[in-house]
Amino acid sequence: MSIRSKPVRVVATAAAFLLVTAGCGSTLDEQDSVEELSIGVPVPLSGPTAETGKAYSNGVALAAKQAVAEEPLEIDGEEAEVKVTECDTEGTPTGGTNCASRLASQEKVIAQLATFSSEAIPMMAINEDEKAPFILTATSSADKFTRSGNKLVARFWNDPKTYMPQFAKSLFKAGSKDGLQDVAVMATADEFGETYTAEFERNWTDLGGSVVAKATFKNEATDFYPQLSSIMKKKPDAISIPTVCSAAAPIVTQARELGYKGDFIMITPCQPEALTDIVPAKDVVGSYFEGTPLSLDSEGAQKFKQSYEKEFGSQPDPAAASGYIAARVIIEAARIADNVADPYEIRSSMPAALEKADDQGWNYLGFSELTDEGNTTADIHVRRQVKPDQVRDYTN
Amino acid sequence: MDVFLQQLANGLMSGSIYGLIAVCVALVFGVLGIPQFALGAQAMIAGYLVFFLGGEIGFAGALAVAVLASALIGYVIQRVVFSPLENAESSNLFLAAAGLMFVMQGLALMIFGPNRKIVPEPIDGTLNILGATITWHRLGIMLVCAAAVLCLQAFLKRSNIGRAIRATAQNPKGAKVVGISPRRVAGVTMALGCGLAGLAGGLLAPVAQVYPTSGDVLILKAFIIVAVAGMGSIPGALICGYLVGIAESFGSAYLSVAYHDIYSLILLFLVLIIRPQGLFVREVRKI
Repeated sequence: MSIRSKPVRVVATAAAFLLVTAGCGSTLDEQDSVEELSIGVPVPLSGPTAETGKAYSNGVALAAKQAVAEEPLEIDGEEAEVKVTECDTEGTPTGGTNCASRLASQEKVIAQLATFSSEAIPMMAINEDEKAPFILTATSSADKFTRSGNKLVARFWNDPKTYMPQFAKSLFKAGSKDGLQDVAVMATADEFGETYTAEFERNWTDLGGSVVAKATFKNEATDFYPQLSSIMKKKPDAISIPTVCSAAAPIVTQARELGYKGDFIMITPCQPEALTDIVPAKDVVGSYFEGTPLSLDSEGAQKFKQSYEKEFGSQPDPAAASGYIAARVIIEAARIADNVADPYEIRSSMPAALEKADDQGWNYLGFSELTDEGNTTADIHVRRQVKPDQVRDYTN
Repeated sequence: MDVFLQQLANGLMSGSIYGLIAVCVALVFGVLGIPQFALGAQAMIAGYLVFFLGGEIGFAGALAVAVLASALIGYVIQRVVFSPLENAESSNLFLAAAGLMFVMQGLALMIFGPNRKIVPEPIDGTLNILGATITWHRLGIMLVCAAAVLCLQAFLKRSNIGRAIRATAQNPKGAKVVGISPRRVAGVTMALGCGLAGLAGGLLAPVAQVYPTSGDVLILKAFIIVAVAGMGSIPGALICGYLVGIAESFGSAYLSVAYHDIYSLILLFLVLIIRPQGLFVREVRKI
């Protein structure tokens, strides 16, 4: 009887089927017996904002490693693994939604730790889906992220509505000696840019200052002469550029090319140490930055920087710290809830997990008070590049 | 008046780069019928070459190497990717060109990583012309782009291979009949197009930063410009490049900067309505 005869083929197919399903069965049995906290990280790993995305993802990976090294994650008396899966959103809303769908349906993640508003907000359309709900955290500063009634979101970043009043006041005071009054805002053309511009303008004008010009740009743009020429007509004392350093640097360079002599105002993701790696320090002397506890070099911050550098070969920035904190909160919340499968249970334990952050020494950005809507309050102070090699922190 | 001249200078500079890439697209599409989307990626690779070599051999040397390397890559791409498809449907050419673009971007991401690379300007300083501020490098970009297109025109008109390229563009079958080698023409055309794209990318590197998708905006604008100019018009592509640059600059300054990328599309719609064959191409009479 040859292999080509029908009965032999039927038996061979049946045997192969049995072998495969037996193998699957044993694998599934093994999987069922190991608890797993699955976390997705849909961030830009390519495109103009890739540097921030990668730093954020590194922070998450480090948190996952350190959290279980300090104390193994036990769920229901059994040791559980923490699995982190990256996905490249390419810095686009479509990429973000595709990643979120894939991570939810294929990787069965219980939480997704995202970054920018432009990607995170579209993900909100699916994170409460009954079939595969997941907690969504982001570094989004946009209003919409936490004020849309979504029960599974949390922001681990600066909410302009909460931090801007104090920051604007400190900035006004710090700049008063040099006559900082008229400010122009050149923000990204997205939800975050709109929110930041509106909050900055409201608070700055309340203090007696003026926002003399506003312009927008896209992250992938390279020529900013049209916007800068319009802004410079109004002779601002400072130009606020609320974006990451890699996107802000060409704006700074081109503003100086056009003869702009004033200062710049940057946000948390762009610190003077990182910006002066890209543009000459003399071009940013006098400029203002948003400082965090990470920039104050406490013992905890130094330890974090050392372990990050050992793992990834570079210094962490606030995005890396935010990813770290978001991941640690999720892991601690799973521990408190004694659950890795129910996102609602884990989400309800997240405020308690954040409270442990200070005691356990990993609250590198000073977040506090995670509300039901998902807002946190961040600890922001003014920093200023006073000389090419000196940065002053205004912490009073 | 100062603002007007500044915006004019801004527009001419950005238009120079758009125009140069558009000339590459017009050349390759006009002669070979290939919508070469990878020209933007070619410009990006040239930017990386300038970044890595500029410190060793100076900007001019690195630019020359980038142009030659781009031309060589173009020749190889033509022989390996597009020549086998010479009798295929145009949709296959479209897919091959798009696929090539993604492959080049993916390779750049794998090899160079996602972080932006900063290329210092070769000549520091700015000059003031009638109230408009322009850097020496940007002025150099305008002059080099104009010179490159003039040289290309002279090459196409005066050299034997240039005449062969024009003959192939006008009548591919006729050109074959008189003994012009289509493969040789295709190889030289693609090398020329990619070399000029490399020139654009290398010149732009100190102005913009270099990263794997930095060529995307250039190629999109280039196709718009070629449609506005009309297929096959090389000087028209450069002039329309200036037009698009100026439209964006003045639109941003006097209307709204939020719609910066839309002004070129508005220009395209107007041209398609008023003169669908393009601004620099004579209407073809239907018999």
